[in-house]
Amino acid sequence: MGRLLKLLLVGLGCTALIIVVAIYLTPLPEIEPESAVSLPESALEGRNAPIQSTAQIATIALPDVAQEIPTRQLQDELRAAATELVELFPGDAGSWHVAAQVEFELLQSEKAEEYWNKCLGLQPRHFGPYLGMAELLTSKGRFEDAIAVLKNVFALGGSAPEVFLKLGEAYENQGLLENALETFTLGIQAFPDDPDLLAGLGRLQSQSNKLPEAEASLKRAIAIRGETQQLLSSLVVVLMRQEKRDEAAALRTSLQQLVSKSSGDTTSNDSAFQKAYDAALRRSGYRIFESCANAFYQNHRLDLAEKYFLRAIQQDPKIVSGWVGLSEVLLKQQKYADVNAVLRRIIELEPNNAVYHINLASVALKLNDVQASESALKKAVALDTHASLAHLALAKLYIATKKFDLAHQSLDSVLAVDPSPDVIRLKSEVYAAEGKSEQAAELLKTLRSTQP
Amino acid sequence: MNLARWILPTAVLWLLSSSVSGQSTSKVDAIRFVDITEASGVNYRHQDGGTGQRFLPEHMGAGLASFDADGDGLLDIYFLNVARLPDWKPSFELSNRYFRNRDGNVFGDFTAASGLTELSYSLGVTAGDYDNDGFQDIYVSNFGPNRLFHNNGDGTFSDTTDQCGVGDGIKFGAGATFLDIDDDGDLEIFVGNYVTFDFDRHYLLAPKAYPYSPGPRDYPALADTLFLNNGDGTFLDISHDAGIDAVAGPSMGVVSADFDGDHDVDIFVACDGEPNLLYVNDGLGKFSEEGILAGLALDSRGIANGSMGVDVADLNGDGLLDLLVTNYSDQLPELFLNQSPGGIFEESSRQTQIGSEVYPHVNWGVGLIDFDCDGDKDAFICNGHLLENAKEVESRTDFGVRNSVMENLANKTFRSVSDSVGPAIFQARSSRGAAFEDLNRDGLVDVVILNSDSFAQVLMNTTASTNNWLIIELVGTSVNRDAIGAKVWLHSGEHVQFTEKVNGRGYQSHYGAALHFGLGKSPHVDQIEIQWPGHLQKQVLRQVNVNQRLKIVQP
Repeated sequence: MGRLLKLLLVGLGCTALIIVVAIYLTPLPEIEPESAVSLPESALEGRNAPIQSTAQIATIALPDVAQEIPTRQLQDELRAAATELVELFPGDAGSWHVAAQVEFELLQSEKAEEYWNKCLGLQPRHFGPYLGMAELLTSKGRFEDAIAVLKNVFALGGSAPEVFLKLGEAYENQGLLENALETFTLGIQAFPDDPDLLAGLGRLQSQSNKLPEAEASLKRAIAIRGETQQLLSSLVVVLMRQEKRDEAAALRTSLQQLVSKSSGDTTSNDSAFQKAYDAALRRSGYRIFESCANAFYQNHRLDLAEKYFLRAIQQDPKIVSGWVGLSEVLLKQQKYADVNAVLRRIIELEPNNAVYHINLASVALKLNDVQASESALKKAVALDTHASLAHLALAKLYIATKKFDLAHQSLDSVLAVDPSPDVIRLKSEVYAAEGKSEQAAELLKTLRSTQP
Repeated sequence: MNLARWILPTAVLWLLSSSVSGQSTSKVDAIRFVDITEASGVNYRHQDGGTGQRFLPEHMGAGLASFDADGDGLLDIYFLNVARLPDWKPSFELSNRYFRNRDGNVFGDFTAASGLTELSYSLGVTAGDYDNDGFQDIYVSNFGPNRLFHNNGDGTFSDTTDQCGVGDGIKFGAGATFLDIDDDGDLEIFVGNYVTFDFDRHYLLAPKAYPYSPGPRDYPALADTLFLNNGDGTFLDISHDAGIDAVAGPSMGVVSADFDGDHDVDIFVACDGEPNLLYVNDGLGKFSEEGILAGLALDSRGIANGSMGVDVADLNGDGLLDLLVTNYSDQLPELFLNQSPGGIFEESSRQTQIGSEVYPHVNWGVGLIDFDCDGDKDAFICNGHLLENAKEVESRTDFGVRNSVMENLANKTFRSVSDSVGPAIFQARSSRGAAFEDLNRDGLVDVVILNSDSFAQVLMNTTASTNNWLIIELVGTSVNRDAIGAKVWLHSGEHVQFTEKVNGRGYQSHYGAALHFGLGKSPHVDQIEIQWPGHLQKQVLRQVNVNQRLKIVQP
């Protein structure tokens, strides 16, 4: 069930995670000087008592704990979401990609293959669907077909550890050990510290009787990732084959402990297998709902994007990416109070990410809560003292609230990192607003001499 | 002229490749089976004894045994069946059934006449001569007390379970094997046990279980049992003293052989969702579990698969025994290639392609047999999901799936020949145990399959082979009479084949009364070496004729 996450992680060539990436790289609307200086009077006067208008009260119901949902119901809902997606947007490759993932996760391989074929017919240049299709073909024992599909990913320039891993494993499945070894070796050259590639390389080196090399690869993988069942079991065999029995026996104890951890609890009132199945389905459900939301977002159906981001979050409120996606969708709908509430939940999950505090400040400003905005920006500055973004935003806020001394301090911090003409101009504008026209002119003169 | 120029090198090339590989590529030798079930009179039908409540035993199916019950040289079949589970309505009783081989092609039901009626919920079976009287006895492991049937030598059997003390309480039994752990010449009994299933817990868990039903991980695993043969018609449970009960796993198929090459018998147990077990014998009848160190516990990804059946053979011609373990769906069957005379194995399923065809399916019974007599062991794998609605749950597989035949290509890789072996295997059923024997004494190994909740099948091997063969029956005198644990090396030209007489194998089944060797085009066998169990010295026979059944009695 964890396969979907991997697919999505390497599927950035597709439409999937664009929202998540976008919000990290581009915070909520910049606080432009113009907008700052045109802040409503209410924001400046009543900052100790924000206005409690309807628009400022969050109306969205946000989950605190994971939803309890019967397995069958969750399966049905996932399938319904995929159906809704492809019925609304039959010409959108991303929608078919998501629908294929749903069917694959629910072990309906014929439908998954049909959907991925439709996806690739509409858009043959994104490599996420190829990876999904390859995994599907592998699960059906069609290893040769999987290799052919994966070669397309390389032809498209796809380069990620997962791509090398999948192709290497596909060659291995087909019994082509030399090709597999070559692929894993190339993968390690590109991503020398990827433990999955090292594990695969070690396994193949062992099968090719290159035992010292296998031992080195596996030990390096363990140093990076830590001890796992896969790495330890492979290393034990490699050591035993080199007659290093004592070292192997020492690892056996660790391996047995790992294995026993994964055994079922035979005293629980819930089926061990069912619990494992449900947990995996819930993890997949999260990603599938999130993928659906992203696809609806890409197709400008913000209402459905909001619905499915919420459904994702309801599966696991501790994962931040769904919250981030939801905040973006709410922002697009100008539901600022809701965005504010969501951002506060995000900050609870990741309190040390300055970007979220900046976003919160921006939204607080939209809600005329200057005090909250200032507070958030101060936190952002404290978290990331060397970044100019937070200082600049704080400077703009001080300008808007006519705290010119503080604005100068913030702008000086920005200039220390980013002495760009725009910032210099802004500082000049502050002087002008203070009535210090000579200093403003001097600054502009200096700027012109350096940037004619 | 141009044509001749091309034909000649092609012909030479063909001859060369045929000679180098030691195999015939002719279609004449293509493996073929014909389903003779109806004509054979084998009208056995397995039932699961349930009403669709999906109690764990319902999914298991059962094994079967092929053995010469009446000493006529023809191999007979003993099919297992089940007992009623709660709410089962039919009034008739279900029994295991014994089919006597009349002439190699036709069988008769002699269950009642032989005394082999068994009304318990039977799952595993093995056959062996525990009292060395020259007649094969039967041990049946049940969901409930197990049963030992002593062969009276006159075509009848007696229930000696209580007398011998081998009932093993009320457990969920699985595969079993006769073996001589201390080389004293009489056979012990090892019984694999599955889990402590109880109906109340099933009723507790089942309502919340979807789409699967409560499985082995929901019940405590049971330790296996080892009964020491006292040599006086009684046995002693030495599971604790021998170190067998130091671990517990959900055991299924079992097989015993000398996996570490130290001249005593070890035990491999395929486990369902937990690491496979390898009980290593110290030569004195004490065992330590060393599956992880031997590389047999987990697959190459470090995963404990849902393992079902197991068979052993030298699959790559290096003189060492390898194991093929069948698994649950989405898990390749594990081919553990032996890398060292000391028994260190590396899971190599992918490089050999042995399981590529069955990856989407649940697999159970397995046989490593030279079906086309070309000198290497092919693989027969039984498939079929345990859920009747499997297609809805996992669309790439089904409850009924055709079985698979994988041809060994010169001891390196395997290729599927399932499409070409004939319609006999096309019937999609959910197969469980299978037995592999030369039923009609034509030198080709045939197949008998127990299908879960369905009729059994008898598949006659009709490969139009021009290859030669040799079948060897070993008879121990100072060692156990079945010669279980004997090792045989067969030399023909440059080619050496190695095998060991094992007991209990496949999916909770038993087969292999005699040792079958395909010889390709070799006109004779240069030499046969036999190492009897517990003996280091080898008995040697030279210049042996091919295409015969050879009985070798320990000197």
